[in-house]
Amino acid sequence: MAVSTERGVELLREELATYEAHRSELLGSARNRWVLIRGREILGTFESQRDAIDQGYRVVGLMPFLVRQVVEVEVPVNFASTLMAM
Amino acid sequence: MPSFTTTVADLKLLGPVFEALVAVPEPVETALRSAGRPVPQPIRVSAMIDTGASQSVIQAGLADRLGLSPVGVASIHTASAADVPCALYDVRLALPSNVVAGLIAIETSLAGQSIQVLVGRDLLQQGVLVYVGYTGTFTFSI
Repeated sequence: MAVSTERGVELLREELATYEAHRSELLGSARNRWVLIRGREILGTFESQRDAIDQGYRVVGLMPFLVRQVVEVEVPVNFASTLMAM
Repeated sequence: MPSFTTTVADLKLLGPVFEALVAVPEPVETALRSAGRPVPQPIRVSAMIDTGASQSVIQAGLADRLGLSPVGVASIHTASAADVPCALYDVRLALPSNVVAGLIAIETSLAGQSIQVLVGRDLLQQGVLVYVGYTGTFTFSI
């Protein structure tokens, strides 16, 4: 039986909506930096993904949080591999 | 540089596969111990080094078994699908010979495959991969 891969994305639904709602202002103030979001709250922007994640653990703990790079155009991750079952 | 070398019975058929352990990342382990909560046991997996993967991948369900929460979302393009949103998870990967690496891995389905982890170029960029086809061995140093 296939295991759903949607649950993880669903857990970050609110954070993703928060990102989209603030994207324009983030592009103005924090372009290319990594933003940390929990719920509707922006908890800061950081130089690296790892810095943002580490801060997420410190501030949010073990609950879901979103770390995302603030960019004008989202570039998908490409897989030339044929091992992905989708 | 820590490294491991593996010989695969049929490297051409199977690819550079090896056994590894997927575990919660260090901050999660520390938080769980501080809270007096049990730390999930690492999960033994079959992993494969995949130079065609720009980022490492973990099989759907592994993060759940470790009790992990997602830390991001990425859209992925594959040979047969485009713009598929997938959750990202912070994990620790224990490779052979006590080589340990932290990864931000994409969770997706590797259904039909005998492997549960793809080690992609995100980890490869930190090290050196030597693939010796005629001896059926490969070495990864990181």
